[in-house]
Amino acid sequence: MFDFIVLIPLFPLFGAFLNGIYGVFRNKWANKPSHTIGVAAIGLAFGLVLLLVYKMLSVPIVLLALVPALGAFLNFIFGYKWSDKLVSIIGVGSVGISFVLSALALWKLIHLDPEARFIEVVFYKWMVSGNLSLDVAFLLDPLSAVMILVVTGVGFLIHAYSMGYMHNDPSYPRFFSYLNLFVFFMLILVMSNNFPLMFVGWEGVGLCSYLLIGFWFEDDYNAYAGNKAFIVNRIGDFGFILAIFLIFVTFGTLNYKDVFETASRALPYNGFTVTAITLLLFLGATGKSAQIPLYVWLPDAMAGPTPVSALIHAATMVTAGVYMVARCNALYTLAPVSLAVVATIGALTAIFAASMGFAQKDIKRILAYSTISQLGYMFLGVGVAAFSAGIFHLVTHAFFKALLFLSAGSVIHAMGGEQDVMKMGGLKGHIKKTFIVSLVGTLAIAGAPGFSGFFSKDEILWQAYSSPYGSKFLWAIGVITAGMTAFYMFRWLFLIFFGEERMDHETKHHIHESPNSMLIPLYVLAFLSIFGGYMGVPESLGVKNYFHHFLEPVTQYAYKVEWPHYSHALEYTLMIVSVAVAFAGFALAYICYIKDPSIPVKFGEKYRTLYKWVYNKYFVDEFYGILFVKGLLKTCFGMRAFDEKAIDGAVNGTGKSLYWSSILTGKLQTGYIYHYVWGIVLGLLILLF
Amino acid sequence: MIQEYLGYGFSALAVLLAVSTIIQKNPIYSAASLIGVMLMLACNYVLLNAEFIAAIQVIVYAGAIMVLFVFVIMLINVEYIKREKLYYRGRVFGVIIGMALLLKLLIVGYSLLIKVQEGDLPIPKDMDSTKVIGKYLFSNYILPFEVISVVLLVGIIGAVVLGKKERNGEEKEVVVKTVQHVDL
Amino acid sequence: MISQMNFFLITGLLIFGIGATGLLIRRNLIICFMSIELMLNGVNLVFVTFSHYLNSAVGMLYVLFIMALAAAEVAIGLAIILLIYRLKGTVDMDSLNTMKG
Repeated sequence: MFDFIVLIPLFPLFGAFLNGIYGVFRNKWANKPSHTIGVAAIGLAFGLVLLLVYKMLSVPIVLLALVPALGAFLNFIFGYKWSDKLVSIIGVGSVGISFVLSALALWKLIHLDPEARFIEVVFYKWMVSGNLSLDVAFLLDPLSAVMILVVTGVGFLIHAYSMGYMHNDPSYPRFFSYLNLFVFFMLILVMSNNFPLMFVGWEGVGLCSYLLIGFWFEDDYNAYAGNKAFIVNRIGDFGFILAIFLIFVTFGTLNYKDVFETASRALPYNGFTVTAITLLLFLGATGKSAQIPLYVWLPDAMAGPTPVSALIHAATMVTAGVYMVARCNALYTLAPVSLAVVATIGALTAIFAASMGFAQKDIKRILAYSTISQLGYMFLGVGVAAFSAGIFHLVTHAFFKALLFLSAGSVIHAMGGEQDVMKMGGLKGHIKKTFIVSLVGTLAIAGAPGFSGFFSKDEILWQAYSSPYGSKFLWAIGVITAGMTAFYMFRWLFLIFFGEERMDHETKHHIHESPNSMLIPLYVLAFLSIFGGYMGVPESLGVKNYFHHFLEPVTQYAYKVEWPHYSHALEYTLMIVSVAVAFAGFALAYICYIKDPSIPVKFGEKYRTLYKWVYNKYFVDEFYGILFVKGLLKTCFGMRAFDEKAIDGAVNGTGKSLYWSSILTGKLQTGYIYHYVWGIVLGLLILLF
Repeated sequence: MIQEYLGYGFSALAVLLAVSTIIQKNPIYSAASLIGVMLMLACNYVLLNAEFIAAIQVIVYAGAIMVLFVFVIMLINVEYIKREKLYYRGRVFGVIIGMALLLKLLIVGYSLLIKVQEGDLPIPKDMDSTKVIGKYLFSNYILPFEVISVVLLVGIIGAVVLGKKERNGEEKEVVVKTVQHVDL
Repeated sequence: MISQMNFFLITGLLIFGIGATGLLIRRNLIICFMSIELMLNGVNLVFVTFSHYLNSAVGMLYVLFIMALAAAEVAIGLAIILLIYRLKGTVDMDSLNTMKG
């Protein structure tokens, strides 16, 4: 009865395919009668594929999909004037359908016993090679249910937002095609039940990230940013692949179920193998989820359109690393060294990135650094074996970070493309609705009590303090970072919406509120940012922590360690401390940017070197450039010279040597018969010998 | 007994005449020597109880083929081709190779131990060779017999075609070109 | 002492070798051709010898065929030599070098 979950990733794939074809052939088909034929053919193909899937699965739920297909088909034939609208329908609709199916899957899952919530649906047999037998199969358990809901839900809202944001873009179909393709790959990543399929999704989201960052590729910088993202990701993927190899060598199988069940029996606690596996996996996660040392691609990735930043670099792709660590909890709990590495790097990244947010001027870049910082929090959470806390923060972060990015997009839209914060100010009088949703997002991320961010962040801080894998030192870093987060997020808010208006007259004249297609998703996300946290209220406050209980079966194979018992009073104390620190951050921002705007300027002039270092992101990019990029480029040029001279020389040389040898051999053919007879007789003589 | 000596004698003469064939400058002398060789061989065949073969040898080989040779020699007015040097590098090399081949063949041939045994197609004691050949030619070897007749047909046709004059009937003036002598 | 059969065999071999040598050292096409005939005759002697001493009719039959073939070959060969004479004006082997290279 769960067979339909196969359709959850397939719908965005169909959408991507259709939009892609349409985008490619759109110009050729404009205003031609053959247009309808071609388009009708595609619609027919789409219907046939759906029919095929229906036949394979014999699931009546496919009928739910045929209705929009029929609508799309009819729209194709009769409405080719409104082609952008059709693209929107396909693009947004496919993700919407997937969301509906995901909700249905969750609803069905809840009705099962907690022990039985582990459904595997095989799509087809992928490869059989020797001992290895892999299927393309999808897994539905509490963790993947949460992830697909986040991906399709937030994805749907962002698709809807993009209808308005990318309205007049000439490459409109291509955008939705790529976006749908990304959702497809992300769903493959979170729904797979074996490591190679997850890796397929892993690589796929990297690819789509590249495609989408460099969406406006006519500009060199955008293409470069896309390249950077993909290449840095690849470095992490190298670690991931090695980990997959190690897992196969150790376990002989690559299915989650088999690996995790036998993990505690097959591997010694704190052994070398399991530490190697988990560290290599984490290397992949640092690439994908932008931790130290592979975070450098994320700020440059802001060159892509804002919905891309929201979807990929806030809500979904960058969380793939956290998902992976949570999924492999059976392996990580066996390797306390790796967990310590994960937690430490998470904490360090959090505070490091937060410090960079103090001096940035681009509206999206500040948010990018805050993403890196919040990802650090998530890794801190899973690094102290508080897997449900980390995932909880992932979910709430998806809500409020997407909200923040989309409202930034709304501001950019209002300001006619301006992205420099220093040129904004005092916008709260002009675009009230955007201001309100931005305020909600900022309060959520800063951890104001009652908002979703408060519960998730607090949970992580508490676990960092009290877990046997955590330490007070990590907790302290987390709290300081919370304060810094509050500071620079309110700095962001104040610089944009408060204070004197620093924009020029022309732009000021054109400020307008965004259309409803952009505002409604913002309202939904704001609602979720406030109320989405109530499913994970800590138990010390008297309410059942639904989220934690729901995710418990995910850690069933983990290696259990004794958790020390702390009193509720301690928890309350820590909660109050973190709130106080956050409030201090807010207060500092208020002083610096509303009360007396000259303070930051004086500070910057007084500590000029410090400011220079922070503003230039501690010159990490330049450092990498000198260390790795230069050497690699030199090697590349050397390789090219080698290829041209040595390899081409060898190939040409073979040809030349053949030519010369044939000339030499040709000298044997003198044309005189008796020479030939000599040859025959000589040959005979030699034979006789 | 006397057959042995006759055999020795005929063979020696045959070898001498063979040497003479390849040594002579004048091609007519060479052809005459070759005829001599064939006659000597025919005598050897008679000694070896192969009278039919001997007859065929004389009739076909010495009588038809060599006559053909002589006709052609006379037809194209071949004189001996003058050359400055008798011992030039190519000729010496050729002699060496030829002698080497001969020697090698002798060594190889002599080292083989030939056992006298009954072969296929035994010759009945009372028949003479003609009868024997006839007996086997038209039973076991009928196919090669037919094929040989086709080959001879092809030979005839080929010779006729090749020997025809030009279509336009005019005989081309023969241009005697200077020949570039090659030392090797 | 060499047996009778071996003697005849050696004779045949000698005639063959002398024919081969003649082929290698003469420049006159016709005499080359005659050397080829010498070689065939040598082989014929060997065949007949074996036919006699091994009591087998195979040798004689083969000789028959060889002679027939030699006849056909000579016919065509001499026709070709005539053509060469017509074309080149000489039967010197050195004149036949157009297949050079």
